[in-house]
Amino acid sequence: MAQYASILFSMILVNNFVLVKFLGICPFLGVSKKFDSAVGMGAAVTLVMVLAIAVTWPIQQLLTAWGLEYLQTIAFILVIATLVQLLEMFLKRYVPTLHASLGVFLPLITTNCAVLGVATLVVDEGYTYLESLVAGLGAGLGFLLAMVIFSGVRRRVEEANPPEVFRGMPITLISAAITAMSFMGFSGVIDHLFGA
Amino acid sequence: MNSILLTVALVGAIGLAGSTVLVFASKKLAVQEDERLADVVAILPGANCGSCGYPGCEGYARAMLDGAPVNACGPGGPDAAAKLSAYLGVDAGEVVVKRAIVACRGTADRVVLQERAVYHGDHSCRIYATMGHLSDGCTDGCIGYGDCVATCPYGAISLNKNQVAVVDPAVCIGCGLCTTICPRGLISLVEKSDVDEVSFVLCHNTLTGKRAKDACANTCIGCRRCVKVCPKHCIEVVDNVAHIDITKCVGCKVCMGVCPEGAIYPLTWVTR
Repeated sequence: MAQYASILFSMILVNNFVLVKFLGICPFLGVSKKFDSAVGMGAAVTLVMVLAIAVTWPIQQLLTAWGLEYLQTIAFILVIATLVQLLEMFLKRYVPTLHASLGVFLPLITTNCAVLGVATLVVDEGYTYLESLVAGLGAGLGFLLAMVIFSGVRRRVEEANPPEVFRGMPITLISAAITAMSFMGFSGVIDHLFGA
Repeated sequence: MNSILLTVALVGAIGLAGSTVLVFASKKLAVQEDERLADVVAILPGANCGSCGYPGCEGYARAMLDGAPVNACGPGGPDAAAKLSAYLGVDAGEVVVKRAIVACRGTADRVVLQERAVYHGDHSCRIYATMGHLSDGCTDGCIGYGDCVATCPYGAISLNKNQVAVVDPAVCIGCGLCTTICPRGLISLVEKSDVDEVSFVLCHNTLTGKRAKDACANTCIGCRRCVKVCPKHCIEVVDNVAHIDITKCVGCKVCMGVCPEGAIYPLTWVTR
């Protein structure tokens, strides 16, 4: 049990995909303006990550067995693209407001390096199927956490009325950097907690 | 050979499985789109200028299907409003004719142009305006690098021989994109009132008297002569610049006659 908790929390805090590994920056900056859409995007990415790993892990075993490891990227992208399409149709049908507020960033999850990143990372780490799913969940929750924290940061920054030259993207990038720095403080925490 | 076949077969199999799932899902999760949407979008000019206040022509078409007024399209004008009202079976209403105007007439020897000669930065009004210049000239007038000219999707704005931006009323459709570009805030959208021609102060120069005249010959010096003669009392001077309330102006041109500097000009609309 301890190793699952260790993987989950290290994925959320220590190896946070957005703030520590700097993957998936595009939706992180693009959809974090409003709290609601930030949560929606985070949940969507989490779902895609877990589903993608559920499918890509067995495929990877197949690839390894047949000696076709070089097909990893194209096979994973294919699976992720299918899942994102499926998710988009689902959201359009059942949650049209979220679909509208996510806009172009929803289909862009297809090429989101965070999703592909977690799928290849669990392979490199040699996790078992269950460990991989937990890692995917952790990575997704970490993304969600980063989105939620940053949507709050952005709101406060906007209300603080920054100087005109910093308004908009410049101050957003600076605050993203500072938020990322704060996450550096988590490095080493998990090792001491779980003794791994 | 075997490994090539295996590779193709594997990727093909994943693709086939994925597409099969997607085909079923698209049938199962299909969303009913209003079939009138495509027709309404086809009626609109497709400029996606945003003058209606909605994101693009499709956004406006959706809003109209939900009951938004059909007369908000600037580029389409009365033509589009008539077609839309016929198609949707609603009252067309009156289309407001709008146009942009640059409130500066400038001169060929205005001080801004002389100061521009020793500026070596990028030729952009917005960049020039961010520089901290100590200027003897008018800090409210047209800089003349033509950021608005580049912004106008219809080519309605050009620089005249005095390096001042001028809007061609025959081409301008009143989308308002240029109004946000000008760093000096000189461009505004004006709506047509009952009269075809009104008086308009083509100056934002807040300097007074001699300083104003030294900076630019075509300047409002805030003398208030126009305020005194206006029969409709629709002119007031704020920060040494006359402002005419064009909703009240009847176009009598008395103010133009008394202005010692020629800062007041007729403003006309072209109705298409």
